[in-house]
Amino acid sequence: ETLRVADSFPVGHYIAENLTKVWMDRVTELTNGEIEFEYYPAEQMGKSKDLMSLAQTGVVDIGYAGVSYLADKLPLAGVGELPEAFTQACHGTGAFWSIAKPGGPLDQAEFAPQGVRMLFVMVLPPYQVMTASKEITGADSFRGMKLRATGGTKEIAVELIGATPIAIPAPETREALSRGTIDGVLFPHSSALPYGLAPELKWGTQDINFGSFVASYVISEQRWQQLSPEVQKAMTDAAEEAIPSACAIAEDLDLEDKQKMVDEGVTFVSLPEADKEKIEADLAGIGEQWAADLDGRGLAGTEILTAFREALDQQAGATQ
Amino acid sequence: MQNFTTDRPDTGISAALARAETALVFLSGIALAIIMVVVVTDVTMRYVLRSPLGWSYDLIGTYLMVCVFFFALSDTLHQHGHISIDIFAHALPRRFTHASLAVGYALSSALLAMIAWQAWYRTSAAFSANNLISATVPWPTWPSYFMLCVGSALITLRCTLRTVAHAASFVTGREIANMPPPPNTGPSETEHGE
Amino acid sequence: MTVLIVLLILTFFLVVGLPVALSMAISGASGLYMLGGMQFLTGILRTSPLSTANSYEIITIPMFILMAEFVIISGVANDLFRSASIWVGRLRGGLAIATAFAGAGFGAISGSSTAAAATLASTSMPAMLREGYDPKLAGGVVAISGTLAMLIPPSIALILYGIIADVAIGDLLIGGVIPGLIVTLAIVLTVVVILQIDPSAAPTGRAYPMREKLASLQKVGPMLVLLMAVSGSIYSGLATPTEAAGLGAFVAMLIALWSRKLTVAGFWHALRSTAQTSCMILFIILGAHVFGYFLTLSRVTNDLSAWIGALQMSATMIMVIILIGYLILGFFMDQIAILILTVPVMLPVVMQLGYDPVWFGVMVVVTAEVGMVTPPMGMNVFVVARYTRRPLGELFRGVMPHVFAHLIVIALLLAFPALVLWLPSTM
Ligand code: NA
Ligand code: NA
Repeated sequence: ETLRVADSFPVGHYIAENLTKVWMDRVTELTNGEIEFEYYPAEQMGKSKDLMSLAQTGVVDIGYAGVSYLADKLPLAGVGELPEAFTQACHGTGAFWSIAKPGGPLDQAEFAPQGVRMLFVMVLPPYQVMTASKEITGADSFRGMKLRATGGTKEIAVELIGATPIAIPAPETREALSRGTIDGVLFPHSSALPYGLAPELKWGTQDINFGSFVASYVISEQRWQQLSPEVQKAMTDAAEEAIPSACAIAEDLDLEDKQKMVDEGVTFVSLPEADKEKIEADLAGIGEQWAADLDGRGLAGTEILTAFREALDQQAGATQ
Repeated sequence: MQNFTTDRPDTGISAALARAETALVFLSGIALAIIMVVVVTDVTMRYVLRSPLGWSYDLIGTYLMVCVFFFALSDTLHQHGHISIDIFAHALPRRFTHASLAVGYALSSALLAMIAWQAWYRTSAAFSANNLISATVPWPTWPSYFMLCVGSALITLRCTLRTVAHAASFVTGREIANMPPPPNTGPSETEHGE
Repeated sequence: MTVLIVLLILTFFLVVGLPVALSMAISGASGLYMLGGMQFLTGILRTSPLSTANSYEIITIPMFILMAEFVIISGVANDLFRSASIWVGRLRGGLAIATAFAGAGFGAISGSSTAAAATLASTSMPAMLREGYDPKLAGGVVAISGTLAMLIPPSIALILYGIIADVAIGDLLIGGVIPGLIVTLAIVLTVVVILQIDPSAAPTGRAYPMREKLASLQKVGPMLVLLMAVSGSIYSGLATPTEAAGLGAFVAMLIALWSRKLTVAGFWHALRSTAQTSCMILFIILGAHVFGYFLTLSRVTNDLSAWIGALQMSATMIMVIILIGYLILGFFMDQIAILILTVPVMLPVVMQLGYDPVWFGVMVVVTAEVGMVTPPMGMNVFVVARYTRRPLGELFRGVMPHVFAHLIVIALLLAFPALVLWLPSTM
């Protein structure tokens, strides 16, 4: 049997290479070749925001669900993109997976009601502020800067530190930086290199979470039920292997990319402890505001935020 | 510049559809003007006040562009603005052309009706689930689906009308259907340019 | 087999004169139905229509067209063309040569070649016909000069390529400058050669004294204002290329107001005409999407790129085959659909062959220029036909010599990649 998998990552993207393809290969291996995949990358089957719908309607079997592209349909899943208390990809990924996997509270609240189940996921290393020329020394450094940020909670994060969020398509970012349309970006380290930002950047933050990005893949419940129990088990097992290995690679790549940027002249700054605590306290408020807004719409905002924070604590305990 | 008249006067159902089309294309034009003003305001605010309009992306991407496209669909078809290839048409027997176009427009009607129906499905789903653009942009998403639904429903009707007219032309052998105006082939023109 | 049937359905409806957008949509939909039944069809129809319009970046299309409408109303385009024709003077075919220069000038402002073609079609085309130019020569040079706008920055096509291929847009835009100038020169030379062969196709113009030449430059002032508003705002960092399209439309409107040529009726006419032209383009893109998803699901694009990747030939030979493939696709398909459909599958092959993605982007756009003017799917020729109401057959025949000239330019850029890559490397 051949399953169609569709996502929106450019060819060679590290998530596709280290998570998606690894998972697919492992499933084929575990099922002794019974299950094979046709892979449609780079929005070949549809825009990022349409891929989950294409999985729901059966045009593809497995579709990419980039949570921030689906903010209208998956508002609760946005919990993983909040600036919460994690700075490592595996920490965030592990916690998110524990609440979003089939049977978890996020699955019950949001994915199951829409007839989809999450197969595997990665929460990216958190976003950092990186600037073209203005030095970052403390919490006040960001005041008045124009920073590229997209997506609701990231824009709020930018406003919270006193800067102005500017929405610019990612491929136009480098030009915007070099010409001074913006002073800096809110980006993961590993996205700065592919977009060619490194030569334009001078300063960056580290060890702080300004928000993240959740990349997950879903299958419709109906399609899942058509698979044999052996295949289902193979997929679940493959996920339990691929998820931790992929986030570990993402962390390594994050460090590597950071080093490459250092080599190109970018200085990464750890904010003074007092400033960092102040910013983190401010940023935590975003989560509470987010939860309250969703509660107001009759959704389980607080419940999911609490579950995610507990999962983060557990993960932190487990790794120590 | 092209003018906005068709080659024969509208009567009956076609005239009624044309009124609906004019109303929608008016909204489409207004949306274009708003996009222009919002972009200029956004850039100006960014420099003068250092505070851009945070909502311009969502307003334009979610509502205005959808309005521009789908509310102009049927009017553009009515005025033969959806380009078709005229190289072979004159060489083919008229009745064959009409029969083929009747089939083509019938299939198109079915396809556009499916688009309208799917859009209606998404409108009601987004409406009843109270889907908002995002947790921080509290605008409903159903109006985009609804605009798509209205625009594609209207062009479905226009296509159905074309199907009937071409079928009638095929059966009777008379030129009942509204065909694209013939191209200019004279050596020079007077009205164009300024 | 399915692919063949679907291509036959497409060709049939195109030939009998069903609108191009509908022909692509229903043939693609039949293909989807044959591949996966109603499930595929309704699934695609549920998502793709809205996604065609549902994006911020897509405003470059209507905004550049709106700018073109205002530029036409203001008479600025006429002035630019008239100035170019005064400078060209008594040369045989001077107006046709002036059209190429006006096309390059307008290309420096407009990111959309259809918008540029619309402008040229309503300005230089009537002037040439009045002077007794062969309509084939006039229509051909108008249609091809419009395509310069997609090569000379700013360019929607290059921006789109940058988004799909994840290549820095700045490098791509700068990379288009020298090829843009080469293509301009190629258009001029083609006109000269045509007139060598058939001097009756165009009259000679008249000579103007230097005083008048200089005086004509004053009329170009508003055009420079527009150039500052669009390209100036991009290079100074005031605005992104997307925003610059909106600024351009606004400034063109101000120029039309200032020249006292913009009436309420004219304003409404510009909006409605823009809505219709944008709608026509977006509807074709929608049809192309439906068709494209069918092609993707049928796996022909993948099989094709796998086949090319496995060829045992020199890199140059493979690149020649790839470019021929792009030219052939350009006959039948919309250029935007080609970009979306092929770049994700071709780019890895191209990079594996050792070619630069910026160079490849510019090459794809130069081949796309050819596709814009070749039958049966020649978007620029469609737009020229829409604005001048000349027969498509005449326009397609008139543009043929320019297609051959373009092929020579493509060969040149293939032989000397530095023509594309040198300028970005100095930035
Ligand atoms: Na241009
Ligand atoms: Na073509």
